[in-house]
Amino acid sequence: MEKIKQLRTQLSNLGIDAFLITNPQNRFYFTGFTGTAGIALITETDTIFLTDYRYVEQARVQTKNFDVIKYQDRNSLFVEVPEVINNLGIKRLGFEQEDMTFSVYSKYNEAIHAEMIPTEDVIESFRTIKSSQEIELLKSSAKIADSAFEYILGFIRPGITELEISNELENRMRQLGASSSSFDIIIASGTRGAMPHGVATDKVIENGELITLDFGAVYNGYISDITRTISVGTPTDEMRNIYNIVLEAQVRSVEAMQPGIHGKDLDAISRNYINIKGYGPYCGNSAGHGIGLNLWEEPFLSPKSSLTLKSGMVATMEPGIYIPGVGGVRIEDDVLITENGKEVLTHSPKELIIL
Amino acid sequence: MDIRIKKLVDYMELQSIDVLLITQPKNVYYFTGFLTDPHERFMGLVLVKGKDPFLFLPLLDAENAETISSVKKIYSHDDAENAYEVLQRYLPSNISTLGLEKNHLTVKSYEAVVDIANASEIHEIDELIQEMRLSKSQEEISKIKKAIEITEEALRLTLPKIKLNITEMEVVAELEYQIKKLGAQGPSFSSIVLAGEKAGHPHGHPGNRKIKTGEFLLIDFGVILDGYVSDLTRTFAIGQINDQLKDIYDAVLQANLQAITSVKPDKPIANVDISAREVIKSRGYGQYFINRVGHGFGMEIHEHPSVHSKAEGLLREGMTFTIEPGIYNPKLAGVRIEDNVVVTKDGVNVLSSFPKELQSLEV
Repeated sequence: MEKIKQLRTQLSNLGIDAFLITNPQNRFYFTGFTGTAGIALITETDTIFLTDYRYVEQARVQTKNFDVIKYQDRNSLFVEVPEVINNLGIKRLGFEQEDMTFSVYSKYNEAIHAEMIPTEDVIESFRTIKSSQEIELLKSSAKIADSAFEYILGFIRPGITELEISNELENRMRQLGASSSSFDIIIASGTRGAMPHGVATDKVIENGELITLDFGAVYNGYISDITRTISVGTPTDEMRNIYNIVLEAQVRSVEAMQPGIHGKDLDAISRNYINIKGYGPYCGNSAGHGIGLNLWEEPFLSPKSSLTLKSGMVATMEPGIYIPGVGGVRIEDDVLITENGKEVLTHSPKELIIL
Repeated sequence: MDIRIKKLVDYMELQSIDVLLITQPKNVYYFTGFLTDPHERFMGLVLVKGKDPFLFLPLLDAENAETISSVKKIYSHDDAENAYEVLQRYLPSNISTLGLEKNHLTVKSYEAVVDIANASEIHEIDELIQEMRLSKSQEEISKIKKAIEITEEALRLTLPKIKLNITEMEVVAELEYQIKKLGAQGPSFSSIVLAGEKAGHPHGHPGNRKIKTGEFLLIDFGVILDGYVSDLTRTFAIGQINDQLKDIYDAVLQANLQAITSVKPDKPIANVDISAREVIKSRGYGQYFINRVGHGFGMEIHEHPSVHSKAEGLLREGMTFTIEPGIYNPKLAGVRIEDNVVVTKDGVNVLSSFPKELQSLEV
């Protein structure tokens, strides 16, 4: 009910008298519905959930504060949903323009009498501040990632492939209670470390290589996202030097995370440090991103960032250096912003581990 | 020039399109061989009339794309830039007709693209690409076959691990572990493992329900390999089951076989559904077969054609789809038997070969 109340107080600010939720994660956040087809409609007085025959029963159980209405199938969606909206006499209907495709919008727009008003980041902005219940789930998810990392250190050795490592990691996370991995696991060894998104391949691990492991769990819908770079055998002086620069950049950035700091300024801390050390051109991606139900959500910590951190936000901090043809290093933690500062949710060691 | 890109170029000529933008990641893969999920970042294959096509993508995908993409011209944008503004630099200033995918672009991206292109007319290209992707090439079919082989092998390896009191989720974990060990990139959708009455819901979620003797275990899963998917369902008896359940199984099996027999080029797509439905109806279970008999698949788990009783159009050589009749009685049990087929020149080729006769698992 809290969320519905919160949204209703915003309707007039948004210049709308009803709001249509179509984004699956926003739908889950708002209604608790875990199926794959459904639309939530919130007006000043009504809360309606529309879904098809497959999910009607499920919706009745999961969406406590909503009246569930069935539409026949995907084809009648564009007739039956507009009918419900038209019957309520809605004048200005807000919709999620970052979720709805242009063709779906066109079909609705033809059949719905109300003016359709594009909105963005409405429910997403609620989602940036985590409730205590959500924080518990994020902590459990981070704990699974930490335990899996500790386990995988005993598994990695020269001669096995990146894919074998990612399979073992994923299986371990499931055994620890994860419903799945939160994204395609990145295992980038040797020169592949220069690819920030180097998903595991059948490349064989060799002695003297650094391996970047970037992975996380999904636990009751909530994700974790951790990166550690380790060395198999003795690393070269150059890679050790790069590692120490990234580590220092990451530690300084995490240290600075607290309510009131701007996302742009946080990104600049690691970027400037890496720059001073001479690796500026090799520091590609943004410093971090929010996590929750989604792997990428506000607050984005990048040079383009437009947010100031607040208590209850959870974000990754993951600076890196990527040198094509040579390799790369990234170190990433999940961090909760608290009233007085922060709490780091991932606890795996960050000093260079040499296997 | 690549034959698929050539088709786009010809189409642009025919429809007087100045710039064509392909943004759906699977479609970008179809035309370039480079597959990535850019998440919230912007990516597109761009064709400008009279110029070489180029791939426009996030900086962090650029290195990978350079090695893999058949379209060699690559421009990138980094996180600090507005992707649309960067894209504008590579577009001509006088675009009269812009082709794009309305089924993929969100309202927000659509507005941003239309704004920077400043085109006077928008041409929808979704159907053109859908049409191109409908009939699979030999190369695509062999990729699908490899995906199916891994699926069937994973199922074979998982069956001996199914023991009394194992949970649905534990079976899911084992299946997905096996498919990755066998080389798949991952499951093609959330694997479905449902025991007993839970299988009576066609889209139930696997949970902590334990497996017991005397009931069905429904396993519906698939893999993704080289960008192509499989989608297979088999239903097993756990120990001995009663005659009522055996009759349900047989009705579904006969419907599956009948539907496969009905597949021939130039016959109505709807016939496939109708022929399965007639079998199940004649056995007295009509009210429990509550969904379409199948769906196209290829790079995506749900593609065209949708195989239902009112489907329009004819079967065509190279179409790949599932045949998956089922009986779902939420109070009792559910059975689904799903194969993957391709329409051939004179009939059908069943790509999946896992045995379909009722198999009892000794637990």
